Amino acid sequence: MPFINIQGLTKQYGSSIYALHDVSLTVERGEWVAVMGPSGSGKSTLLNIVGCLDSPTQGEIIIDGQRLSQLSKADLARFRAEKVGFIFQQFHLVPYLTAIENVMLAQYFHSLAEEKEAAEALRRVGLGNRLHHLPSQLSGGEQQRVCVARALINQPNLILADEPTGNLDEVNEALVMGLLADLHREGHTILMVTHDPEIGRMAERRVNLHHGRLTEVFAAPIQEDLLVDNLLQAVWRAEEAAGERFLPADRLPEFVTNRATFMLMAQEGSICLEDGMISLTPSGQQRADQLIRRHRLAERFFYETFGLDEDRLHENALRVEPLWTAPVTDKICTFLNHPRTCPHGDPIPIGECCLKRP
Amino acid sequence: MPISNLKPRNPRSIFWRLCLRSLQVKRPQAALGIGSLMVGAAVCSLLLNLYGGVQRKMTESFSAFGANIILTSREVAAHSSDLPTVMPEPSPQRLEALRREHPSILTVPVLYVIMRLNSPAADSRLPEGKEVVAVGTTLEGISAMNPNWHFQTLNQRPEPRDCAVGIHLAEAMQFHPGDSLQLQMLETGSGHDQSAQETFRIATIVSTGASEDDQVFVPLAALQQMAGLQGKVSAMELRVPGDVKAIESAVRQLAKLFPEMDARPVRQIVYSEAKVLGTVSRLMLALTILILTIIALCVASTMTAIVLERRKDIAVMKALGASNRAVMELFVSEGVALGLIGGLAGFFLGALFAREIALRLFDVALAPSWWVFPVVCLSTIILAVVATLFPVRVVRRIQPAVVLKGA
Repeated sequence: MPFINIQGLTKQYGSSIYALHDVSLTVERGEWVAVMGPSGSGKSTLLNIVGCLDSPTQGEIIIDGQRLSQLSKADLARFRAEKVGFIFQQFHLVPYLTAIENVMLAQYFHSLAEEKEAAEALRRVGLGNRLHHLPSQLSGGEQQRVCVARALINQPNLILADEPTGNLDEVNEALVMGLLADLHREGHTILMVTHDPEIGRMAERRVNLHHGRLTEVFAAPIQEDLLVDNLLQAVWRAEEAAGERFLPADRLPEFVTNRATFMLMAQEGSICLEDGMISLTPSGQQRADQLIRRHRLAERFFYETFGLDEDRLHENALRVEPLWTAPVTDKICTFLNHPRTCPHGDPIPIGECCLKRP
Repeated sequence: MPISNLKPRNPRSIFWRLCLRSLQVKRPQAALGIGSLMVGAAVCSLLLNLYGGVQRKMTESFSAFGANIILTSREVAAHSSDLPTVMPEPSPQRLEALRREHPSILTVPVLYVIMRLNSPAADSRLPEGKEVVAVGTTLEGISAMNPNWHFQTLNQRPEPRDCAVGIHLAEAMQFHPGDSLQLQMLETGSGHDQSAQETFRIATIVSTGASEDDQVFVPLAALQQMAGLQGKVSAMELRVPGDVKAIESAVRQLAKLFPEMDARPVRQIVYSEAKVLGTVSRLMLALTILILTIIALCVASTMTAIVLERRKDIAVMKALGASNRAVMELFVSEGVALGLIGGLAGFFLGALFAREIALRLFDVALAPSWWVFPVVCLSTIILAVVATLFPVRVVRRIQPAVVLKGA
């Protein structure tokens, strides 16, 4: 049985305005789903209805076996307190309560406010030294992390995040998304609303809302892999240019625009991100070597075989190299008699075939 | 702060922190609410403290007008006379039962006899004789019974034959303290020897502003002897301290103790006091109700503003799982806090004003009545809660999705 089962959900205002129109969706337990779409597509409305902050005009929602339409207002409040954790774009912290008190507030409406537990939740999100600060004394990222701690304090089954990084800069965005990724790994079910494809890419599945109607989008694995490959090559080239293995991440232009993907790569183990420094792990290095080797061999191929000008080599290499598997690459390398540099003078990483040549 | 240093607190401590912190943040509105409630509490405290003091003062003032109960014979006078028929003097033993219930009761027997007052022979310009009402009583008794009478007393050791003369009579007869006067019975054909004269020393000139200014007050026993009315009195004057109910209770008791006699309250004194006090208390009650109504409206307005300004906080709390009841409880608690602070401050302020007004207007040194304290505090809290109940109903209508979207 799915954890969330949304059937024919419609939210209508007046006689002709549909925020949601016959939306049906299932979310499995422990799944991370990103709800994406342009502004006004009904994403937040969907989230609010799933979180029992709003009620549908038609349709049914069943969460963890509980039919929400059967619950009274008081029961819905109880359900929210026990089962749901909200992370808002605008944080919505109570301004005159400190960080720890904001977290304790969520505890209070659930059961008992326990200061130690609240402090531990804040420590977990990296705010152990900000317990008694007011929201006005915290940065945007810190406030959102308080929000995350508040959302988690009652150990909800479901986390609803409405544009969690919408008001954050890149650094804090990466921090918050890292927290969500940790929560996902721990088995929490996450339903996240975002308009940012970069953020949406971190989810397991992405669904699209357009004018209140649902279209489901699966991220093409090829496109994901292509992006990761490009980023690995970018790191490899940067390391080659600098002559160093460890580089400041912020100096890499691709890092600034693909932070979430880099974080994903770090989690998957192809790069190492620590203290603002980026480097390739052995597996990342191996993969990057293969990619660079393939590209530069392709350039060499076009240069020697077809006599193309140097300024056209890169473009043509990009066209053909995705088709070259590893054995094909080795054969081309043998055909070209294991060249050491590309036409631009850059070294070509050595492959197995180069080692085996007599 | 290391987490290990954090001690477990009262589970509701976050509740009180939220209450007090929100009042701190909304200081102007909270101050307005407290100020309004303080005014209401001060008015209540003022009026309640003042009423008690005024009541005491008025009772004292009315008591200066003399007796408030008269005990007379039920028999109608055999001949036309303004003087009541004589009756046996009420025995002290029978009065004991009444004294047990009213220890401060004052009783003064009086005997009215018309006698001839002979002028001193020395001065021929004065009238030779004059019929006067001689009142047999005790001089100490009438002095205690009528504190508003003015007594010009001879500064010598009292004597058994001392008497007091009304000021009009003294001026007409040119009597002075220390002079002598003679009283003689009028001829009545009763067979009693009326030729004897008795001489008395004028110890006191008394000024009353009433008919007593034309009377002579002599020792009761002497007059009884002269008139042949030993053991008889015309009436017993009584002053019972307390309000109308106490006086009426004493009248009923006297009726039981002395069925042969007629006990009546002096209506002009008793019921005038009751009327005045009743009017004053009704006026105070009406004023209090009016003022408290205005205060309640003011507090309701303030709390409405507080609730509306905190719509976003309410929406967040609901999003976190707070029920309507939990949120309303929070605001009602804030109302209670305002009521408590306003009540405490208002009680002392009102008591202060009551003391000043009592001193200046009624010449009464008034100490705060401490029973007023819980009444004022509780009333103020109740007022604050009632005034809060209407605005907090707004909480029910706040929809988190709408408010948080617009925030």
